[in-house]
Amino acid sequence: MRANNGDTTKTSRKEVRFGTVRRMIGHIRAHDPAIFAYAATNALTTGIEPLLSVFALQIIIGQMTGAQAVIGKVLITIAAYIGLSALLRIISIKANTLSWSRFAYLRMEIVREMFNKLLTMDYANYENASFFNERQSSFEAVSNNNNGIEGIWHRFFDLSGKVVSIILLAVVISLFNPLIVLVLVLSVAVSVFVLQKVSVFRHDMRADISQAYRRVSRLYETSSDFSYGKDIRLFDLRGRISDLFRREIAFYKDVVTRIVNKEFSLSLYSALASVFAELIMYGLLVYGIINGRLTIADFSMYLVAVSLFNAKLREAATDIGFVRDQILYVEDMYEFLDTNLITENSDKPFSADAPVRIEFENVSFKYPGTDRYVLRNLNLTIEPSEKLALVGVNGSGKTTLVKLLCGLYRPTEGRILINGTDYLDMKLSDLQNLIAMVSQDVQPLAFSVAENVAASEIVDRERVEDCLRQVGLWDKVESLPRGMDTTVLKVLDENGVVFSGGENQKLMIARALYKPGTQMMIMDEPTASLDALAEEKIYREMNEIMQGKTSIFISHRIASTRFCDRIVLLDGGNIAQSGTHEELMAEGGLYREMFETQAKYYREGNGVAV
Amino acid sequence: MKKSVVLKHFVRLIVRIRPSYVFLLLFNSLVITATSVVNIYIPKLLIDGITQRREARWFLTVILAIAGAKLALQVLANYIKKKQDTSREVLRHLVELAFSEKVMSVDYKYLEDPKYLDIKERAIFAVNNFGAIDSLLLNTITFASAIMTLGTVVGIMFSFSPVYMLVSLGIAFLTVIVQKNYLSEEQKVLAQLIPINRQYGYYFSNAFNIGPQKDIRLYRLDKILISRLAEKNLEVSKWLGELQRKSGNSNAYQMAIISAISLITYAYAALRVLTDRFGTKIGIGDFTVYINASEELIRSFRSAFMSVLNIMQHLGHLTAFAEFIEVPDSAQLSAEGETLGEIETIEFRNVSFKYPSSEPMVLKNVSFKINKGERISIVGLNNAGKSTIVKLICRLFEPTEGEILVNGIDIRKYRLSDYLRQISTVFQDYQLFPFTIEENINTCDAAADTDKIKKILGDIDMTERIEKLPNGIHSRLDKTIYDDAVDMSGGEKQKLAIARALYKEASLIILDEPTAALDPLAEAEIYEDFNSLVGDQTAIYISHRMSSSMFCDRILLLQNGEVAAFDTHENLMKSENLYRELFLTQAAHYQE
Repeated sequence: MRANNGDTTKTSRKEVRFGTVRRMIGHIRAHDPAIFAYAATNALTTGIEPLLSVFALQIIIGQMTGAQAVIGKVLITIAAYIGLSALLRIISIKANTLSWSRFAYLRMEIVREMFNKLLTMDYANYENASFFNERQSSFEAVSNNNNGIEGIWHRFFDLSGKVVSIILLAVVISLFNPLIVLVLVLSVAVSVFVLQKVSVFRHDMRADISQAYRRVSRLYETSSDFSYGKDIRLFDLRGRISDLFRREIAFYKDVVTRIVNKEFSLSLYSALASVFAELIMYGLLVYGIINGRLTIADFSMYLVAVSLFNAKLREAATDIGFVRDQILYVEDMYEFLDTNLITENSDKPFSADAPVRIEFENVSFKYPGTDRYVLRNLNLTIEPSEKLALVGVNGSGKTTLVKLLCGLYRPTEGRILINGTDYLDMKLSDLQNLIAMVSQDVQPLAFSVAENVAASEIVDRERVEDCLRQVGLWDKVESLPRGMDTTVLKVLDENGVVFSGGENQKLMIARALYKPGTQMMIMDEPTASLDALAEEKIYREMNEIMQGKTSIFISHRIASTRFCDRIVLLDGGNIAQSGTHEELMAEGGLYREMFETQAKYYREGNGVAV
Repeated sequence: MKKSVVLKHFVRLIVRIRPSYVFLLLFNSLVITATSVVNIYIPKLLIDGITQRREARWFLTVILAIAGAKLALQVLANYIKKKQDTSREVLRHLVELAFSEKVMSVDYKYLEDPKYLDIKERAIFAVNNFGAIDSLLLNTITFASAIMTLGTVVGIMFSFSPVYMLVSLGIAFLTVIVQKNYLSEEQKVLAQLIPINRQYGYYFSNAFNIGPQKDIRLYRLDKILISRLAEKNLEVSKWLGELQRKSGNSNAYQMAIISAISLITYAYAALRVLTDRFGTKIGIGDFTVYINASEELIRSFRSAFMSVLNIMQHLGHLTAFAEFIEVPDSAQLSAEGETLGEIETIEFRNVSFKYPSSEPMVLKNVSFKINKGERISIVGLNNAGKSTIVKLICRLFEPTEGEILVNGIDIRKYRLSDYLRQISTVFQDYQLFPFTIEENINTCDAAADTDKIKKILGDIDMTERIEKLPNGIHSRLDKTIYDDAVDMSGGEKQKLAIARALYKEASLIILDEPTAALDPLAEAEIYEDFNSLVGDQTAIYISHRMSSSMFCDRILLLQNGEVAAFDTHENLMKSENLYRELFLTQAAHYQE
């Protein structure tokens, strides 16, 4: 993350900043150059209008205080001024509103790009606690219309007009006395300096404040969440949660107070500078009147000109301060977009048109950033078309083994071979094309049933129907109002269908069946949500469902693995026992112990002799 | 709900939780008004000085006075802004706290009522997506200062020309009408955008949550997600463009109207300088005052009205919020009642029950009696009413018909806190809280009994796991809130929930599907020690796994909301019934 280094890196920071600005403008040139036309129009009309006010006032007051004031002439001048001013402003309004939503669209497309990056990056990043924390600001850069990159674009749009007015007004005022311009610019420079200090302070504090804010909002989510309601009432936790919430609010308040106090103390400098400048300005103008250089009309004109100049300058300074503040987020955003988050092991193609052989060769693994080995010197060979059951207690390494096999992580030591080839020696996408997986606890996506099964917008309807029939879900799908085109979940379509836990699992199995070209199948607790009778049905049909592919079946219920060819029991990151159910029972040991304990309660009560 | 009622709720809420905010509003308005007035009169002061040919020293004094006044006002304004910014941030969260406290205090039945879930979602949505509370607060600041400035400037303009003032205000009112029309158009478009926003939220949750990521990579689901998002972007930009077009037109009309007012202002003021046909002649100094004051008049008038319109809009968004706040706190919380020692008997007498906002009777004429120390297993298919019986015992709901008696007395007669002290629960959808492990387990003692906790952790086989943690039993549980919190697996969390229930040592313990996520060995250990863990408490146990009914004294078999049987395992196995069928099906896996 960007640290506030010393002076030595100041120039490079400035270069980075200008580079980012150039990049942001270049983005518009590349995607929607028409915006420049609107910006130019706006700049011209907004830029000239203040000048109009300044001169009009001088002329009108001049006419009123002149030797022979003609009422008609004055009224005509007034009408002309107001009319022209209105016209310029209306043109500028139009230019603004016609271009505003274009910026929004550009931002949303960047969001889509970032989104794409997330969905295709290394899986490991999701299990890295600091990944999203560190990139929080890059997402903030695109989070709404008023801040971040879109906020800056809007400001640049407005700024162009202000810059034009500032220059024109500066010229006019300098005709009287350039010292005024100098003094005003200096006072605004002080304000800018102050604003910058404040924004740097805010940026440095952003970790603190986002943490404090996150704690308060998460507490809010938790305590207002209806699903906590039972336990809060039954364990009488109201008071305790309220107290915790209050403490967190107090903590948040402290952080906010620190920022706000800093802002206040720094603002004193800009107030002083601004008042000092006004002193000089009034002094010089009054001096001009006293020594006869200025008429009252001139005096009024310069008062207005200076006031407009000051206001525009300050607005421009605020805009620039805003841009300085927000551009840090945009730089983080570009850093995110520029970083390659995908580790490609190899680009060698790999394919298999028959069930594959999988070998784990001395595989050890620990999660990045941790010390504990989850798998240790694991050796396992799964023959083509073999149905392997993987059992073990929670934390024994079953899910980790599967994540490794799917290429979501790489072994810390050892190799994994597919048909004899190291799987790091092949394109990741080719490896993943071979795998059909049904995960635990997975939700379908809010697209149509068919699109869910096909995992794509392109759907082979016959194939979808076939897969749904196989898992016993076709009757239900056929009965839906739009059949397989019915949307799943209600979040994107209020007429969507919400499947039960068991139906979801069947849908996910159907998706695994649909995926073309797979040669291995992995099922992780696929029947956890099904009741005893439905579970029974799936087990019976498991052979057909596996379709002869090399299969790994994970469960912690020992009984459900009996249809497999071989059972592997993982314990403490290694294989404790391996064999058929009969062999393992005969061996005695952990497997038998687990089976016995689960079975005991059924046997005793059943009264059936074992 | 009418907006005035929503406003009333919010005013009452703010005054209750942070009354200092109102004072800050007033001070802020005072300073802003003072600043406006000073700015209006400065040119006149100087110009009059010129026309009256004052000396340099006079000018010097005046200029210094002006500078001093402006400095003081600026510093004061900055100070108030500082106080106000803090106050606003804190107030926002205090309002959220008030909302949460309401959620925790209403009768539980509201939390399972889809109508109130919807109200709550809409309430939170308004706050998260429209920043409704924050905007409301900001607009009250704007309104207060605008009104005060308006009042002051009206005074100034009245002395100039009451007719002119009324005319220009009348025309200014037209801009308010134009703006109001635009706002209702804006509402319509925003209503279209609400579902789209929700859809965006859905896409983002798929990008930011780890849950779907394995499947997204293995099935290349990124393609369909990205393609849909592109469509959404186009749709949104179309709506935004339309909104901008309407906004632009509205602003253009308002600009034209304001220009008309300026025209009248300048013309009238000029005429008052040049002739006395419309009133006493005024000097150039006054001319500038009235031009400035008129601009300030129109500005503050429009600002006041616009902020009212905005406030109305925010109140509209906050209606759901107010609707929820209006729900009364549970009467049971403060109600007096009988005290309860230990639970000796629990009896259901002809209890029928249906959930609020739903038609079918979930329980029909259920009657049974449980005695102290008994282990009861409630068995039945999904949705047979098992969890409902337990929720009724816990007084989360009241029976629609019939009564529930504990120790022979209707449970509603007991003081709620006393009553619940005698019941420990682990529900299927239990929740742990963002406290430390110790605080999660100890929910009833002022100071935790560490020995008791140690023993319980040993009983559930979590001693080693917790000792290994850097902060041990003082480790916090929610990683999304505290960076130094620890992660627990599903099974470990369930054990902590069981520990929490055991610690309470209540006379009735209820376990609803507590071992579903545990592996067989862990499950077996819990079963093995179940008798000793529970001690001599009465226990009600619900599980899908028939094996758990083995060590229960009696089994309550529910079918279609009715009690099909209430008997021992042996007796139930003697005849054909649902229990026997379920038991045999599960047992079949374990046949050699």
